Amino acid sequence: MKKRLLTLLLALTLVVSATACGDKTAKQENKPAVEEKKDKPEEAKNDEKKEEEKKEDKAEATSTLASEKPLELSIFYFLHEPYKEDNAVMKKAAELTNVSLKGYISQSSSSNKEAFSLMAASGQLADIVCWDNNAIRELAQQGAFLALDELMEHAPHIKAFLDANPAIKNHVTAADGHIYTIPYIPDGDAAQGWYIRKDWLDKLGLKEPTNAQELHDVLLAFKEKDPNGNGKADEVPYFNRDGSPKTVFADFAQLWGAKEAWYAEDGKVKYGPYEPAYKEAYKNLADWYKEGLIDQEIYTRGRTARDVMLKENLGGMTHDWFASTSKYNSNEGMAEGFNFAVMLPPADVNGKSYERTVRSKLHWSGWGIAASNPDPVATMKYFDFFFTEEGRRLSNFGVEGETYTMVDGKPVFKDEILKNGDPVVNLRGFGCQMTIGVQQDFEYEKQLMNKDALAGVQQYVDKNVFGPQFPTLQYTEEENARMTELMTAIDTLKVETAQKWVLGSEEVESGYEGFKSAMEKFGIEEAIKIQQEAYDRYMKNLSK
Amino acid sequence: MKQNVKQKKQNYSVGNSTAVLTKPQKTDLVLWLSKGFKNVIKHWQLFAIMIPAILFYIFFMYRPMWGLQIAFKNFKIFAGIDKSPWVGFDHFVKFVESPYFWRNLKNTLLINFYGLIFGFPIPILLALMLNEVKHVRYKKLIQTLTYLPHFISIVVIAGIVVNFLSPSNGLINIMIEKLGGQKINFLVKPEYFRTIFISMNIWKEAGFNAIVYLAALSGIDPNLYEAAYVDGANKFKRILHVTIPGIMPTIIVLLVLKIGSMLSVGYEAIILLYQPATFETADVISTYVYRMGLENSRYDYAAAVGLFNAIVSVILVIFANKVSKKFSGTSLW
Repeated sequence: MKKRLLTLLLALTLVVSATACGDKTAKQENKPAVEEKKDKPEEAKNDEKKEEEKKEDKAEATSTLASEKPLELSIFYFLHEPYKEDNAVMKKAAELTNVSLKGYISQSSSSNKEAFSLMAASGQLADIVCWDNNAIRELAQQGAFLALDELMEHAPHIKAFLDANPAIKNHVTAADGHIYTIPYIPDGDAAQGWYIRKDWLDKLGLKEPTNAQELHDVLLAFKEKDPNGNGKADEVPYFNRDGSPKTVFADFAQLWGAKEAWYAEDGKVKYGPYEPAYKEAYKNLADWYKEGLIDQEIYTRGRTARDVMLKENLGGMTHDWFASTSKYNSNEGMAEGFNFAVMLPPADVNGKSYERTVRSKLHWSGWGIAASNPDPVATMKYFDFFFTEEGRRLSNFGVEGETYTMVDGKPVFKDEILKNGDPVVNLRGFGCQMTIGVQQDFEYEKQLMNKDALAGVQQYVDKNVFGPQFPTLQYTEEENARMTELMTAIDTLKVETAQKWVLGSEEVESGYEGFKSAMEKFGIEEAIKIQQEAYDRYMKNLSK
Repeated sequence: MKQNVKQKKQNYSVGNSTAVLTKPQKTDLVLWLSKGFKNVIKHWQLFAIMIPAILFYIFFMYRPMWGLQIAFKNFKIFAGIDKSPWVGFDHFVKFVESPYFWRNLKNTLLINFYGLIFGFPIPILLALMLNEVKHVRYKKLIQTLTYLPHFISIVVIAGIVVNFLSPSNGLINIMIEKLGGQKINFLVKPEYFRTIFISMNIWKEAGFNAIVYLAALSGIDPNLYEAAYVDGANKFKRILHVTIPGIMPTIIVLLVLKIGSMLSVGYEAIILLYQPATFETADVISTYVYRMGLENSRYDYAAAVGLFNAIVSVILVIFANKVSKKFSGTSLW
């Protein structure tokens, strides 16, 4: 009996702790849930000035009108939550453009994917659909969405922007040459970087590692020399909360010149695991894992790894997002002298040092006009509004006086936005930072980042360590279906083999040939051919 | 003459209440039908009661089957079912030809097979044991505790399992270490996957499944026990010769149904527990299809796989039913 009760209690505690470990998805990370207070922005409240500006707003308002008469359109929008009608930003936008938006889906919808599929299957689309560019493009082939390039004359700002940014234009141009969505465009350069316990380095008298060999020695020292000083060799030299076997070692692998995914070299598309460098990389990774330099639970620890490893003073190094990782330096209750510092990427075998990730300007989300939209021209003008300086500021910073004040001609967030809870959540409440067709302003994020994160980002940008990025390619329908089939099998093979190698249940040396021939059997050459054709098309469009 | 036989057959299979309907009279079908119609009028109240159930089946079971045709079409969601072009057996061929098809099929069947072998008898044993407990409150308590896990979300259960088996601070590994053993990273070893998955399911569902047997047990006539007692049967003998035969029909029915779902596994649990390193034993049809493209909204392909599963299941159920009829005399139909 007692035992039973004990088990029940134990189970209950676990239930609680397990539910508490909420998952953060990678997509959310695109806009890091940012942190601690920035230096207190100076309260420069000049009421008269504000009044003047308001008047100016009114005067300009006539020029931003998208529609003569008030127009109400329905919108499908669901990123973190379904579209809320009474948000300050969209109300202000309605004031300025005469177009107001009404949410199309129920507030009780719980999954955006499901909500979109349901809407599509019903055949009744919202007037404006803000969703995955690819999905909209696919439905457009069935006649569900209007080609926006034909409406471009009504959107001079968008046109100018796309002409100035051919990569983005190319990203949203479908294989048939039309544009169906106005994309959301993230801003900023750096996304993720290397982090190391600077205080541990100092304690052991070590220098920041600059190449693979040095990195190995530093991690080994972390493992053996007890930098956290508790007398036990319980340190986990390298950890990563991205437990996904597809990408978890992508940062390490490039130290030996290997890639986990597609990349292009001199115009030729290559698949990382199919190249010889992959073998070399995994031979080393398997050794490192065996030596205990890599978290033995790296695949199973999950999203809370960073929290646990840092708070318990166990983890020595990781590769993660800037904003949220630097936060730990200003957290309370960390170990004495805790300093998790940004480190430049160690050089690879060829002596080149580069960072795998970069803040892509190409986001999956965007908005399009349904074929059933009652007034496409007004809608297009409305879209254009968000590409004016005013529209962009409105979407990024919110409404002046409510969320920010102008200081020296620059918007500065008010204290209550930054200091009460999560600033990003606060801003979303006002309707800021929606992933509609608008250009993000990195200035916004800078105001939410702490000193360390900003310095880290700056360091990466100054040294320009960002490696070349492989573009998102456009496929024809048949290509797409074939690629899914081929890559499901190949990816299964890849993650399975790579994990076996790392965990040591298969030797890299003896297993590699079999791995390669299995990939050939599964049709890797055909997949490369499809990729190459799509890539060539992409490059051709880009140079146009 | 043939019809007469048919009628007779029907007469056996239909219960008493409708016996009037099929009283063997003339061999003329028309006459029989009109007789039936008269019966409907005569017993219209009974038929009226059936209407909601019939409507339910028509609208919620048979009408959606219309959508099954997307398994043979290149389904375009906005164009709708009717306007999507036919592609014949394309999706089925692709499914069977995918490189991992045989491994996935084998894993699916094995997980279910072992699940059946080890998982099926446990609720029966549990029910038998509970049935012998004389202290009512103790019995109720145990019953409640064993069926509680059924109500916990599978996500949480999988989280508990991962925590328990964690190599650094999991309960199981700490115990192994304290007993002088070597820590094992259970979740990345293919040879442990089935054991973990099946034990988890047993822990989660055994108590709940036992409820059905407990209900059947309470239906056994106490006189039989008394008679057995008088005949000098001990406790074990009474269970063997009274209890088990008493719940045999329930066991058979549940077994046949279980065999029918041989091809479906709780893939959410597998996705939560598996690792690429354990794909060898853990990757099943549904998880592969999930990775393949439910995320890309490939409804047509998923429908084809679903149909494939359904057909295999029907064949298995019919087979199991036949076997059971032959050897035990009890069956579903």
